[in-house]
Amino acid sequence: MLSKEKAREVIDVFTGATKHHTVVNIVENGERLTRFSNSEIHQNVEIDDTIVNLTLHNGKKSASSQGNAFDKDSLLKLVHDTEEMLENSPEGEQEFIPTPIQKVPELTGDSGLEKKFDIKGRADVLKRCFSTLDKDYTAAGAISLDKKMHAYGDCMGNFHYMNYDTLSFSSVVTHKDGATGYGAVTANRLSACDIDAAFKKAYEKAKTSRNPVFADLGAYTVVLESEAVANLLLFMLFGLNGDRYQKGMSFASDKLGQKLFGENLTVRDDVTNECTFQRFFDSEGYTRKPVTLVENGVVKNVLHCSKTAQKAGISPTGHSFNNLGFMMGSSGGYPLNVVMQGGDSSLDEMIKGTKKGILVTHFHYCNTVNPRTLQVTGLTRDGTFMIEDGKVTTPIKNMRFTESLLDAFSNITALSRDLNLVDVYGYPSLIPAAKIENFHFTSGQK
Amino acid sequence: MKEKLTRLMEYCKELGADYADIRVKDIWTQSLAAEDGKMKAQSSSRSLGCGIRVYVDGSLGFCATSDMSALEDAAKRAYEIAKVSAELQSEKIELAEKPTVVDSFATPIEKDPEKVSLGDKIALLLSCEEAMREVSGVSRTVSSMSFRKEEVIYCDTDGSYITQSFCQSGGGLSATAVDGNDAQTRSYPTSFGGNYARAGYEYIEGLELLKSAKKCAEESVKLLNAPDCPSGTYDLILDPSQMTLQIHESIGHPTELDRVFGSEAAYAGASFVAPEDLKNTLVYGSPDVTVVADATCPLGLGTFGYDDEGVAGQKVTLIDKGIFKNFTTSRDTAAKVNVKSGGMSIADGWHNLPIVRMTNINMLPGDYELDSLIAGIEDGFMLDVNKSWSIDDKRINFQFACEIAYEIKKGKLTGKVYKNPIYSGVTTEFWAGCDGVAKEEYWTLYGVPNCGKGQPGQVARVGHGSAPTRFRGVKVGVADVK
Repeated sequence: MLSKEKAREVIDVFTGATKHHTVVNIVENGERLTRFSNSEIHQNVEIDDTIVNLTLHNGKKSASSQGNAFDKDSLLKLVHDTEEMLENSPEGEQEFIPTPIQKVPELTGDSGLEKKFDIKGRADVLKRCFSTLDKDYTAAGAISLDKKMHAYGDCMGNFHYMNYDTLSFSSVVTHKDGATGYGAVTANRLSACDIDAAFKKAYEKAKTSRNPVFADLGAYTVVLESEAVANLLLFMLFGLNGDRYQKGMSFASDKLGQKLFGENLTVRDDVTNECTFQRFFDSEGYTRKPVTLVENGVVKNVLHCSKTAQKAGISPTGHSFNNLGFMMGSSGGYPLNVVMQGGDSSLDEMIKGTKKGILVTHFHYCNTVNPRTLQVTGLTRDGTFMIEDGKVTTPIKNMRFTESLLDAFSNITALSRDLNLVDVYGYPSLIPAAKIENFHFTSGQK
Repeated sequence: MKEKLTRLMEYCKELGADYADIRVKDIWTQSLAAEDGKMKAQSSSRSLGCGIRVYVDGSLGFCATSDMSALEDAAKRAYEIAKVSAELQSEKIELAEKPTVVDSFATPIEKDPEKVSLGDKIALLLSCEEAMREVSGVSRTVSSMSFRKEEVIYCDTDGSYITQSFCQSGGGLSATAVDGNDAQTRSYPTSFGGNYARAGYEYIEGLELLKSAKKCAEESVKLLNAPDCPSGTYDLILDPSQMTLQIHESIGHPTELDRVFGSEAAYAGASFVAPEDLKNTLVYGSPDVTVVADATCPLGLGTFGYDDEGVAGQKVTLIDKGIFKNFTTSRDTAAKVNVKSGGMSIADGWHNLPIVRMTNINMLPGDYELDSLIAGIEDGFMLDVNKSWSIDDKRINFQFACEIAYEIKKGKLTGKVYKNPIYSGVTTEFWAGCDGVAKEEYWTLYGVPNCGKGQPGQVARVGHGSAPTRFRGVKVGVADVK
């Protein structure tokens, strides 16, 4: 892992080598991933890569380069290549505004995850899980320890550094006749990493998913476990990107401040919540601030990078992913610390209170059909059951939904008190279970 | 480098490896995007590193590093990982035999994109922007191009040593018209960044982006004011740009043998196709459906000399006149069904493990003139350019949305267009409804630069060639339910 001191040295090489405004992001990705299928380890990998992103600005011009070589000659070549791009480019739309000096809390330290989930530790926990399976069941999935570092520096004197670990586990348990069940956990602290419980859940779901039947298409009351809620919420979050909003490509375009969802929907991006992935600065060096996205159904805010914030006439809130290469050309901001407010119910209570409905574990391959109406499609997977007269009864074959989330999130009739840590595009987020009326399943597997 | 890598392979054997291989990749990329008439972003990247696989007593370990001075450490780590893997492995990994090869390959190109001036590239993009923005009613325009060059060295303990150079070029346009309630986009030559090939800058010139810019913008405005596509059961013709996604999702992925054996079960899903289907028992589609995996196809994004296991790129028939014939395979998956590797094991970058990937999954052309396909439809649509895609975890139920539907009535295009067309189906039923494929002169090759699979996630660059194809009795829209 690149130390704080070494990161600063690298940044100093850049800022000392060019007259242009300099922004540097150094990102280190270490993945230790053990993948399994048929209850065996079939892929076991260790990957380390450190990437430096250099962005130069000059008025309305900007250019970026990336590299993974850290000797001085390579760093200076990166400067040269970026300067050449900058000097040969025409002006863009906006004048660049340098990031003022920010005070950012530091996040470093040992989470204990690496010690517990080293190569042997990962194998041991899997061995323990597999030993609980009857002979007709097999498990597939992955357990991954991600070790990351992010350093930011610019010629204004901002310097931020953080390192952090995340542990993620997901598994599908399959019966030989095809029934499946899913369990997952994602966390950045040891106390939240109960892999055995997640695996047990997958196993239980598989056991109760045998001999599924076809269900009629149509509108249903659905009880969604937290993972399924997160699968849908993701698309609402994409729509709250400031760039999409400003370009008329969002369901919220021209509707900021309007009530578009039910009273019981409140979603925040809250970096102060320790259970989420606390990254206190963004790739433009701004301090990340908590932002209320939706409050009591009213769309309060979209998320910005510095450019879209400038257009909106507000200060950046530290949600940019610019200057990181992989989202080249993307603007606006994205959430990393999603906390969806719960309610006063529980999963069991929601099921008991449902006369006829469908219990969904999670969704698969969801995609936006129409971003302006927030129409999304996807399929159920790994544990889908009928609910009849307050009880979970028959497992059913997977079905496809096509639904506008403007409708779905206006038809939430219950939310669980408890929030669960689930993966929202790779980051631990706190999400309740939810009961939604009038949710449409539009096709199936026959 | 050859001496260094050969020595490393000997070191792996000294450690106790039964087999080992290494891929060294030096990757350059460049991306340029203009938006709303101005340059939005220009960036380039360079990444060098290697990935080492070590097999010990039927177990696999993999370690990747960018520190080219510490290869023995990485090899040792891969060996240690393999030893731990063995503790939770009952079935040993076997690798199908392959010949020892010393060879090289390079993408044939005319113009190296790295040597074309930035000014020329930017000038083209801004010209396209200007042309699109001349159309009244257009809100947002995007013009982009991107390039990727890879220098790859492969070496293994069998004595193979292969050097390859790949060059990828791609670009495209999109125009979006927006009003208070709706936003409609038209893309050229296709969506999500355009079309891509393994080729030099001459490919960008061949796309004729500027020539199509105005039409692209005009259609986005036309779509904004068009009615929504009706729901019902219709006959459809899918343009090759949409056939790309149809083939990719409902043939390419379900025929990946690692997926069949459960490798992706917890992530991207499994498949409805089973190893027993190699006995010519699976009717995948109508007799009009013949699909090949062809790593030798000129310009194909999935074209190469050798895969990332040192197996020669080749052409394999996946479906022959509707009957399923073969899977896409790697050495370990091929061994499980007693066949030779199909040479389709690819790693994304140097830092990932090679896994089964599509190469160029192409549907062979038929005999029809396009007019004849259209003439055979009483009431239906021709759909163009994908907007959204979704398919279940066994690759059975799918749903696609396209940018535009052109109305066909009584065997003729009426000139009327509809927006927001969606169609869905069940894979083998859908392909069984194929009853006409246009001839070779209509056959077009598209490149998909962002196929996702694997944990850690990997991106593959794959090709799909097809001609306009007619399907009968397809469910369009969801109004029967909602």
